[in-house]
Amino acid sequence: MTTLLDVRGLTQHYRDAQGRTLYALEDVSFTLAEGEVLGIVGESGCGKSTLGRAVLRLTQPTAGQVFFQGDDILRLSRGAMRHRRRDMQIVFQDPFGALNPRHRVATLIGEPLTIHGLPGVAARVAELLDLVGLPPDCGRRYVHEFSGGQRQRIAIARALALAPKLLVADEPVSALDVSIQSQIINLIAALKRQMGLAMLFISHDLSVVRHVAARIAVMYLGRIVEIGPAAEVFDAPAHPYTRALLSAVPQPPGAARRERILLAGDLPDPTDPPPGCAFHGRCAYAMAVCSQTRPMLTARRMPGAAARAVACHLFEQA
Amino acid sequence: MTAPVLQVEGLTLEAGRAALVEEVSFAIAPGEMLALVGESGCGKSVTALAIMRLLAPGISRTAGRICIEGTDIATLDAEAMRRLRGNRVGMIFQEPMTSLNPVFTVGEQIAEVLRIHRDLSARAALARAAELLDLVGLPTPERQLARYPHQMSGGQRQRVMIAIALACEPRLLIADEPTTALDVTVQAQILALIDRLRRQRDMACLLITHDLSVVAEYCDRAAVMYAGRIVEAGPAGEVFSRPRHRYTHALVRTMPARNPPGEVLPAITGQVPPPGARGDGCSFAPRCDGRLTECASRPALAGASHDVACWNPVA
Repeated sequence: MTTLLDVRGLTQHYRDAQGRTLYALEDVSFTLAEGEVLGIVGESGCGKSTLGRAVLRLTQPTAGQVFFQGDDILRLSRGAMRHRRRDMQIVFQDPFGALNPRHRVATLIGEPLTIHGLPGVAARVAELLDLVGLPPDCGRRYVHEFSGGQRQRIAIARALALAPKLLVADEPVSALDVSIQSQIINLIAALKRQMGLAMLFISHDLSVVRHVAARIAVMYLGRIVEIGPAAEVFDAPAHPYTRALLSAVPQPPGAARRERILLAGDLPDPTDPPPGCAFHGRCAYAMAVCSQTRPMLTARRMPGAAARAVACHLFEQA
Repeated sequence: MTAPVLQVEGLTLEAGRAALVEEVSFAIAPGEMLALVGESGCGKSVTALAIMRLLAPGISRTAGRICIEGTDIATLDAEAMRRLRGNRVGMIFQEPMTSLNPVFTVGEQIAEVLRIHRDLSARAALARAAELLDLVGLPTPERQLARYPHQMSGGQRQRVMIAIALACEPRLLIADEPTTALDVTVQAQILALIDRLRRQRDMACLLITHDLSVVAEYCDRAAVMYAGRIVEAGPAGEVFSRPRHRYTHALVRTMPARNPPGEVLPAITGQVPPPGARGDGCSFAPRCDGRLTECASRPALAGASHDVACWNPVA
């Protein structure tokens, strides 16, 4: 497999209104192969959306490197970056907020082609409408005439206009009803197969991520705490936070119940992250070392499982 | 069965000439949790608003009856209805931030309910507010009283909303998507809390939600709504483990967690018909793969304890 994206030590700090530093993303590293789907899961404020934006250089990361096909895109000139953007696109949760209500759908979908000065816009728009399962006459209509699911199809068509190699999908189905959600999940999966798209699939909905992603990264307070093959992370979560997170998901009707771990308290303040492991204050297995030393995210070979990286002192003795 | 706390009979709600909700009936006994479950626009939230008599202008009840503890709420004057809300009936909404007043402390907002409905002195109301915050699991309740909503997390704010809803020991709690805006670990905390409190207090509970897994796990009974009508109702576990209506069946089958990773989901094609365009037959028929000629006329909701409105139910 060829590496498409190699993220190293990506860090994003913000200043909040009081002038304090908000540690949105801390030292995040991972790779993504061509055509691979990496699921990014975690709760509000864990940094998953910040990660999606920082990887596309939609923010100015504080530190780190993002190698896209070997080039560190954080060091590219504006002109070179603009050219590179053709290969990387994003789809957001709320398709209505992402699409200009005053333009016709054909204009919205064709806009990336126009911006990059490519020919054959009309033909490509017709092709894209067909690709995402919208009737050809949709191009003449406006976004408000469409339902949420159809709007997300329009946003996806627009993101795919330039045939990108990487798609960041930030909660693409979270605003949709269950019956519409599965239509869009099927569409995304089909497009991935047809076009060999690599994806960062960001979602708080673990069952959706499990369905589409081959690998999964779990984030907590700006850091990846566990990353590995989806089946292993789901079936045998290692990090105590991953275990609590998975146990909290209500099981579908008829499925066996996991034993629920109810976490006490709330996420720590991201402007004042606790020393050591950020999760130690809520962790049932916390040891003295957990409040002093930050556990590194390192590859560990669990009994009966393939290599997986976990940032937890519990796995250090082995 | 003991007398129900809430009884809704043949409720029909219309906006202009379009019916939003049609012939909806259900009852909730003390200590029981019933879910009204369905997708956007199915009429579940507007049903909850009708129970509180908080319908937006332009929406009216054109048929049916709503009784709370045996009293038809249509017979109450505005003052009596005001006494009922927040007192006999508590409510929690999806977004606690917009339901709380940003310029008053949490303590003041809980105390306000107690002063209005219970005529408590300011000091007694604050003391009771601290007890309520303790009940809903907020640490150091005395200190929480002085905080403002924006100083709290989403989960803490929802706990405050529950404290306000429970302040007067209501007989009925209406929770409209109470955990939809919350993270999954916080959702588990809040649902466990509501579940414990309704059992302890023998309180009837109406949970409005789109999340089938939540219903199967926490509720005693479920009523599935589609396009303004209840299409299936029965014990929650049974409705979702052995769904009989083709819509419920398709909905359960399409859930990602019910399918092997990576496989094509058995999606439901098409869209929910909007109010006013629902026709005379079964509203789900155009999207249904078990459609028969009978489906052009409306099936009645029928059954012993597990009711279904379908001409060709799943065996």
